[in-house]
Amino acid sequence: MLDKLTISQSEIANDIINRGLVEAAFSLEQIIQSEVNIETIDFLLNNENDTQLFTLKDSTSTHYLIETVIKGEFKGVCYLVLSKDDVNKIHKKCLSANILESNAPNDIMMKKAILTEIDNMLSAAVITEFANRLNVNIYGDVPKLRVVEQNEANQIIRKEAKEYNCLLHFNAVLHAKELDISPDFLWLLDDDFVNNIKKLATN
Amino acid sequence: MSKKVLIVDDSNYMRTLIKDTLKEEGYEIVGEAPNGETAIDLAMELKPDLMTLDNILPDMVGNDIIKIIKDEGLKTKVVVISAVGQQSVVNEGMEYGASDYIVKPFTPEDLVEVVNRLF
Repeated sequence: MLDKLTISQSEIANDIINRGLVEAAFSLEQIIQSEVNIETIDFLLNNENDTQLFTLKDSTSTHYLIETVIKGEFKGVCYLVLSKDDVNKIHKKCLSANILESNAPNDIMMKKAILTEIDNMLSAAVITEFANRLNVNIYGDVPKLRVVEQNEANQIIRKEAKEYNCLLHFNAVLHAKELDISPDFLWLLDDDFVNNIKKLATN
Repeated sequence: MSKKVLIVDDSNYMRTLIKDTLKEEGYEIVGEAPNGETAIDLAMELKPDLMTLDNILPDMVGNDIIKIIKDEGLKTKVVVISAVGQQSVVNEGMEYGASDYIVKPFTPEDLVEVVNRLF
């Protein structure tokens, strides 16, 4: 996974990330009441290729980019990336018909709130796994939602990757078969994450 | 007499879910707060029997709110409802005086069971 880690360190990192993602998939399953599988997990070292696209959703679709900043003993940021089609399906599954059809300010807010709440629970599932396994005090800040085109989504993520001096990022596709949605769940972590893995491996 | 509840969560969706669940169970929802400052003001003013409290709010963390209302002598029971599930944070919340801790996602039945147990 990472050439900066030894094999055993890499195995620990893989295990923590995979377990965190399993917990996130389970949380998503509970919310949307539909079986969720982790379709792919891509681990990448940052700055390998500056032009690389972080989100690989349909380039013609509007992206719902929900950002959670990780605070505490190591820094990072995660994004839940949904297509417009994903969002419509989640709304249909989780909200009542009167909210779905309404354009009242409160109902519009509710449509956004369900998305940030899903992100909140998914990111917290991963953060909890990191915190418990690495014995660090970290938490996710209040999520922020942005609705952007693919190009802009990638620009935002690339900029953040530089800001956090990101060493590692991983991207998982969480596939809910029945609902037929496949959000990207992308994480950018600074080198303190890797340092904590090394510390854990030494112990 | 029905118990008075104050709901504190920055998410409109979550406040509505908690409100609808507890109203159906016969609790009286006396207030809602999207942030810590409003939560403290409403708690002092309304003196609810129960506060459901999200742990991460835009302006404060839940444990600080628990500490403030306990220091003010309020008898309000606090159930923390949070996506933050690490054991150290849960323990800290209980040490500050929370009556119980629910990790999101939860079902309406989970919430009712915890709240009913307190009264």
